[in-house]
Amino acid sequence: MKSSLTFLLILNLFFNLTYAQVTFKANVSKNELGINERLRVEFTMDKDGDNFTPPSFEGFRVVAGPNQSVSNMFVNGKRTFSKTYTYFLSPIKKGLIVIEQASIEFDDNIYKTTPINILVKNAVKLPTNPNDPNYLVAENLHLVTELSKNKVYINEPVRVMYKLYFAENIRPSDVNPIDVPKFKDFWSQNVETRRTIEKELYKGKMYNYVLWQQAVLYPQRAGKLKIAPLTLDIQVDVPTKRRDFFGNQIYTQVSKTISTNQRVVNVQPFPEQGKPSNFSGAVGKFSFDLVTSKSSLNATESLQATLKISGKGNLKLFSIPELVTPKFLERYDPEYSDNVKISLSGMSGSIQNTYTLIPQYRGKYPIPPINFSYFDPSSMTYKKVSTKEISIDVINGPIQNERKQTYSGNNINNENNQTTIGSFEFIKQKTSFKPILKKIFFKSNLFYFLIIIPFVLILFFILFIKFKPNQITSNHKKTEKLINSFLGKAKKNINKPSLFYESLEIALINYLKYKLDIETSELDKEKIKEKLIKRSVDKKVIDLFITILKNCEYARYTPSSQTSMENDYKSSVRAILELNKEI
Amino acid sequence: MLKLLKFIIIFNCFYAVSQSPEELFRYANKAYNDGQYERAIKYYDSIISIGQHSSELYFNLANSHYKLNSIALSILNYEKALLLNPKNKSTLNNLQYSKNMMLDNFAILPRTDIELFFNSVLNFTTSDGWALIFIISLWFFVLLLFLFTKSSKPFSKRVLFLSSVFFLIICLATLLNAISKEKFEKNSISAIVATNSESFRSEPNIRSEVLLTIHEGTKVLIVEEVEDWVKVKLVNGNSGWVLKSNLYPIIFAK
Repeated sequence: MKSSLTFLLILNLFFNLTYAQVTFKANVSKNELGINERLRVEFTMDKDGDNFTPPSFEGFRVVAGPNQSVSNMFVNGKRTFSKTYTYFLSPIKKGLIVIEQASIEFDDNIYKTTPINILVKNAVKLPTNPNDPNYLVAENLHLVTELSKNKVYINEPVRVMYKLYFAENIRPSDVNPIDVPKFKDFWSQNVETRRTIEKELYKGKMYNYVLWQQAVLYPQRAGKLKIAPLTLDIQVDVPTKRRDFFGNQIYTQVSKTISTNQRVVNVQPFPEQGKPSNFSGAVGKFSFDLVTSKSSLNATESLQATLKISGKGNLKLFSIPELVTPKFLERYDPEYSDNVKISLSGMSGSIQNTYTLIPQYRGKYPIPPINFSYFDPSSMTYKKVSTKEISIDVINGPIQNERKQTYSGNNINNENNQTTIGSFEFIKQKTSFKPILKKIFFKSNLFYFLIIIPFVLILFFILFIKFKPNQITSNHKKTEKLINSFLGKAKKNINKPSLFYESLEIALINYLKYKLDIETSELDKEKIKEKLIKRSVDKKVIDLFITILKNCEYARYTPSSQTSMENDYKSSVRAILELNKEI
Repeated sequence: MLKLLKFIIIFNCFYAVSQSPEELFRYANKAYNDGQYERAIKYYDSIISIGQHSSELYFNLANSHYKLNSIALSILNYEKALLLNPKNKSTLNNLQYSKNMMLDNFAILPRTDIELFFNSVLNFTTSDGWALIFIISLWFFVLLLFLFTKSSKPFSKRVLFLSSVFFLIICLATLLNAISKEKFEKNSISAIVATNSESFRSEPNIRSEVLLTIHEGTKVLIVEEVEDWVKVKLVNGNSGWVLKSNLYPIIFAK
């Protein structure tokens, strides 16, 4: 028997050697498959080849393998040998994928398989086995993202809930979060959950569920914003058909990684129509108040003014409008405080800025209304709220006087004159009204008239008075000339008595001749007297004349003093002047 | 009913017209004292609409507006009162109270002592006042010159000549003042900003850049006008454009 076996073996060897027919084939379980299916590839050879080199399996992921199996069969004395390398592949992409050649070496020859074309199609529904624990878990365990709204405005709160549904027959025992969602483009706040098991209808079936995580989201920009999925690794106890000794069902534990479907929130931008200029992104429903701690106080004391926004909305996501105060109401930086509760419906509560104000001077300080506008998503309109005007009375304190700046040299002196002028003055009781449309005096006709008038007057005066004073002066000059012409000689000889009197007498006689038209022959004192009386000359003047003439006669014979000469001269001047006036 | 209404309206018109400004003034003062500031303002305004005014009227009107917290109108009327009666102590005093309420506080552009001196001289009286002083000094000059020609004594002649020269100088100076003051009065109309936040723009249109925001009660100097816009200058020297309708010019009008 033994010898026959060896013989056969040798024979076999011989045949093999003789024919050396090596088959090396690649078999696939299927040529078409869904992307979610797996593919088994077997490389079979009927000789014990070496140096098996698998192909690169591009387009696939090697799930398992290579599994090597060798079979040696003798059927009817015929030996069949096969050596198989098995791979389990899972396709990565859809489309036509080629499994390249694999190679072996046998007797220094290289044998290769033919390439195989595999068509990867869309995922197919995997055939299910109702008793497969994995299938059971997949059917009865769901992780769902629930959104309160799909379509919101920027800064309108969205509530997101991650719920883990499981059927009554399975029991999740251990849950480990793998991927905790980070809400990009959202302002988010997680809200505590108690994670108790509750019952709810899901897809028409009663499920137990646990609210695993919940958060309030405030979208920060417009667009389709993705909400990141939550991924959990769950150990689930799944019942089997088997029962233990006591008749209880035996559970097997299945580990399952489950993630939520991706949800998208459609975030709308704020409508441009009617958008107030001071809109700062507040969305919700708010009230806006200004409260001061005092309404009347003394200067340099302080008071608190609180600007408070309360209501529901994105309170933490916008700033409070600034308080505007009169310039002499000193204002310090505000102190911010908030009392905001974040619940599932969003933020509610109040935020406030508290300012410290110190008035510097006496007077009244009205704080003008401050406007605040927000978007009300329920009515889809902008709403404006403003504070009431508040007036602060400062009772005591200095009065601000106009700031005076004087420029002296290089220094600018800022003088803040705080003169203690009285309090706010009461209205005046007495007045005198003038017409508003008064005539302008400057450059008016009256103005020019008043300019011209003095000149006209002067001109007039000059013209008018020229007659009189000029007559006087001319007459005066004439007599002077006359006297000079007649008495000039006498005046010259005032130191020589005889000559003086002689010339004086001649002068007087000449004068009378000239004045009275008398002949030299008629020159006699009596006759002169007569003539003068005829002319109704004053008697005194006549007497004066006669006396002088007499004196002249006496002087020829008697020596006379200097004083009498002067007297005579003066009186003769006077006589001539008087006579001149009369005639 | 309509007839009755008409009658009342006509009657009221007569009533308003028939009252003398003094009477209205008294009524207004009484209303003010009773705290009925709106009514007082109505009465004061009716005096102005008659065409009569006085410094005291504007002062009282400004006081009433102050009591009602209207910053711009009270400042406007104090300024008008000051135009009629510059350097009135009580007006300046109460104006300061009004200015306390303002939100802006612009630093005044510093001016030299010489400038201040000339300004204070020029602001001594109105152009008409200067014109009157000019006329009087002219008369004096002419009179003294005339007396100078008449006088014969050398000493009095000298005194008269010197004093006439003195009056001639005064004459010329006041004429110069009158001319420049008139120019100033015509060209420098100030205005008070009426609205609480007024954009101060670089160009006379809405598209242009907003340089800064000025608030109610700010006094500005009108430089020029283009359609609905006015170029104004602030006390700190900045200039820009604002809407004409948002300014109260400080001019007397019915």
